[in-house]
Amino acid sequence: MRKSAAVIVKPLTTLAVIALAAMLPAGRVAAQTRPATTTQATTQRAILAEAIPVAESLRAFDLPNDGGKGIIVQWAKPADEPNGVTYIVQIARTKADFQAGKFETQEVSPSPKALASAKPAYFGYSDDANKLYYAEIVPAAVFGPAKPGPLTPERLKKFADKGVLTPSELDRALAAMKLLPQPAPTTKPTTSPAAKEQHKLTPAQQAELEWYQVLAAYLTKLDGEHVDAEIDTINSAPYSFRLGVKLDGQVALVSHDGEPIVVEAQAVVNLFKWGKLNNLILSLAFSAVVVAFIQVAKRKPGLFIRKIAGLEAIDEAIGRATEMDRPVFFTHGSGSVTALPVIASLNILSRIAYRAAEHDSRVRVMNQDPITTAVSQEIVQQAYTEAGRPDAYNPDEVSLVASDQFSYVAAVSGRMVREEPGAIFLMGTFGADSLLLSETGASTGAIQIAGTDSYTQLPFFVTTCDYTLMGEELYAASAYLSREPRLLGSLRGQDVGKAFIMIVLVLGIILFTAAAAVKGWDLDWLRRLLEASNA
Amino acid sequence: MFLKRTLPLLIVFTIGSLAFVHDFIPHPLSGEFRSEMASWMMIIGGFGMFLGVYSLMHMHITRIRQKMAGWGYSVFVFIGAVGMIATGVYGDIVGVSKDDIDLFDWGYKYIQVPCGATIFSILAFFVASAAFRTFRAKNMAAGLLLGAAVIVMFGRVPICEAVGGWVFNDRQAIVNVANAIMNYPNLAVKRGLLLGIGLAAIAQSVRVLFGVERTYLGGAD
Amino acid sequence: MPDDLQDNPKSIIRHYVEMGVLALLLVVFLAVSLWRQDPLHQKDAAATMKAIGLILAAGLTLTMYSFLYRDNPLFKIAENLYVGVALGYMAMFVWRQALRPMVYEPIFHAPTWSALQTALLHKTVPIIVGFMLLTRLSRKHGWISRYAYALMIGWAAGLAIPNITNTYILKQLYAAVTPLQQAITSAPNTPAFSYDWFVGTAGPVVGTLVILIGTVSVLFYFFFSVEHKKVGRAVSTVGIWFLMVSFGASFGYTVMGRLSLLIGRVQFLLDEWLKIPST
Repeated sequence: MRKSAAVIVKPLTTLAVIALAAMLPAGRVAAQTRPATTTQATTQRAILAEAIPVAESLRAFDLPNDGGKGIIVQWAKPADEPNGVTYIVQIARTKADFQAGKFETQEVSPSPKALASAKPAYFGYSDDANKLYYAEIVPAAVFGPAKPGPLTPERLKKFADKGVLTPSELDRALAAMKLLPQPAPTTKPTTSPAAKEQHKLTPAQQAELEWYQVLAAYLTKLDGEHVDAEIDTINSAPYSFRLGVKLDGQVALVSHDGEPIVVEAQAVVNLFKWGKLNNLILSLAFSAVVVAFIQVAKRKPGLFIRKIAGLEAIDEAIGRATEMDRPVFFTHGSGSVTALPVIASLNILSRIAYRAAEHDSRVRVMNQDPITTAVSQEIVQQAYTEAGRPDAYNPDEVSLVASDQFSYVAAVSGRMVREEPGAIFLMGTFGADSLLLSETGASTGAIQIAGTDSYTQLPFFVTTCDYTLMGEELYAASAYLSREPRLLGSLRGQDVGKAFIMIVLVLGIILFTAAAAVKGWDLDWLRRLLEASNA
Repeated sequence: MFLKRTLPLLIVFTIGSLAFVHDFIPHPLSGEFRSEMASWMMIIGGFGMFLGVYSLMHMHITRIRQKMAGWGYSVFVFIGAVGMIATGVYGDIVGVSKDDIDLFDWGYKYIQVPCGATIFSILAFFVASAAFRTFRAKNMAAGLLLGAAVIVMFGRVPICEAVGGWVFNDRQAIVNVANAIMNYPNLAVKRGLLLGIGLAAIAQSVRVLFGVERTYLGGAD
Repeated sequence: MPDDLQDNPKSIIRHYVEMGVLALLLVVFLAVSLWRQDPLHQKDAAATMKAIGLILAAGLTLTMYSFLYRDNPLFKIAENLYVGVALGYMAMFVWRQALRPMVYEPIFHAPTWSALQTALLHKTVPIIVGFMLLTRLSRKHGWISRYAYALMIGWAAGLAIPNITNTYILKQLYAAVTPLQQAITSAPNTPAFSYDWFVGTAGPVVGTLVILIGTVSVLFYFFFSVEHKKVGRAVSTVGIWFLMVSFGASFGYTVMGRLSLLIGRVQFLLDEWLKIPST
């Protein structure tokens, strides 16, 4: 590989030197810097010639995985890279534009960040990526769209022509425009009472002016949308690129037979983020496993599930609260209903409300999120109905008690101390409120069962609660409590996923560690498989 | 049944599938769809605020009306809420000039912020009492928890360097041990927990999308 | 007086003593506040309001702490006032950040007919769904609100799958499989069994193995379909040990941060309320 590269590099370097020499007199190379002696200039040219990348390596292509914004220009890193050299990418709308001098330039300084290895999402993890430079070109950033000027009567008329303004709205806008305070023609500020008097508007005029300001804001927003559309148009056009190297103000272009090489590319609207392919495969595979086990469990009910102490204790806690004639408290923490742990905790609430209704004890659900409150009300009402006691449901017992984290803590803590619950369930999403609530709860002597997937809060629950459902145990609750075959099946699917992850973990470590010993084994495929990419 | 159960479940499945699929599509339309949905969620959530205010107010009105124990304190909820909403609306409609005092901001700055900060700071006491609670539990697990807590806590205070230098002849000894606990066993557990939670959360999402788990929709009648 | 105290003379005495002390503290607080803040002799209304605000903030701060001793009437007032203020603030916040700019202004203040049409096109569905949510207030028609939950939960669940795969699974897996390789390749060249060798080479290698054992045993601890017996019991016990060490470490790590919150409040009382410069 190295040999063949050298074979190509040498003749090309020679060619490039010739090209450079040919171009210099034509004046297209900016050799406008400080005066140098002839020998110095010759040495510099020779150095520059060494630095010219291999012509064949110059490529331009659509930036993959994006919505049609960018183009990538890539080239091989020269074998010898002189100090102080920078690469320049010239961008023109057409090939002919280069001749006419109508092009823009983007500079790339050599650095690890400019190497293709810095962007594994596009170039992978192989060692070859360390031998490539790349530039990400967003044409609209180079050939920016025209900025819309301030609103003038003419522009208002244009808006009317486009149908944005009806004729009567146009007239109204033009009239309101005249009410705008005119910029003073003289440099002196107009402070005379007469001038001030002129600016005094009647309430009706004031209202018109306010309407005009709303209109202006709306039209500016439309302008923004128009600019966005223009940006898309600019980005989606084809472009031509040339590459050069620059040293001390002198530029030499990558050429072939004395002719600078031009590559072309066009940004395309892509339809799939290939960098997320592993995510898609994993998501679908895991979902499929879960669904498959749900199906299996439907046919073969009675799957084994190990004991989860925190969930076993729920009935005991409710029983104790009933015996002591004390209420049962339930809090969802600070999560909104769209948070997955809150959805999981709603299953537990359903069970607790049902049990409590059976035992004829009171459940108080204290929420911080309005929609979680609404869903909790629905669930508790339903549970009471199923337990045959619909009349026992009181919406005031399933309510929002406060609307932000710490007022919630104050309200719930106060209630814990005053009403002395027999059992407290803290299930859902928690932040700093975890310890504040559970420590107050512990001081009341109630049985406390907590459950959360906020792993930073687990230490506090573990130290203050009688039982804690850690992480995924919270999610297992619906299956565990209801023993519904389909839910149990999904738990089994989850365990299969876990086993798979454990295998990947162990094998991955073995493979990567082995790769450290074997030269040239870069495990590009495995890295791509495990890389979490957003592109 | 169809309107109360099946149709909502169909909506869950459809909108969930779209949410899933759009995440893999870089097309600009996909981005527009996402921002449109985000604004939908904000608007629906905004309506939720009315439910919240109603729920809280209803509870306190009932307390006052039925003269339940401590009903007098509920009046302060009204003073706070009505005061804030009235001053806020006044500021919106009439406007508060720079020289005037915006009572809405005043209420936020001198009531809400100090109360929140104080409740938050109570954690300093509770951390101590929770540690004491653990101290009394005499088993292996509690011992490990307490031991790790003491080492890491000690590793974060300046005096540990002097003690390290005196006892182990290495000023960084305790800091190193504390860092090792944070970097190795702690990281291992974080990974294990996150991987497990991740799988469980995906399984739960799948159950929700396919309508296997539907407690949140309430009953069928 | 709380009902449960009525039959116990000792409790009654204590209750009255406590109330007396509370009243005394309140008087002292007001006297100190008037002395240090002097709200009645300020140069303008803004300064007066600031002085009153600081007294109120200090009073609320001390009252919140009083809960640590016992629930009391002042705390109940502060708690309810705080809940009310926070509710009012939330309502205004939602109005100003969501409902006004996204619903009220685009529809009721549409500057042009075409603007109104655009707004209706984009907002009609969420507004209808928002009103559906409000049917929760009716016992009979409450079920209609399910459509709102269905939309929100469906969207969240669908979006969660790729997001969680990304952050909870792929990121963790990738970070978990490479460190041993890094620990080996980046190890400094030091003589075996020297102090530097232990710190630079053996430490990280053993550490990454500890991570592997910890991660696998914690994952195993959460296996639901396997009964923890024999080897399983041993592995899950190791998992529990890891969990406990980690919880202890997180616990210890946060203590200092929590203390600084308390210091912040004490500084507020000293600097702003009592006007005693701390440095």
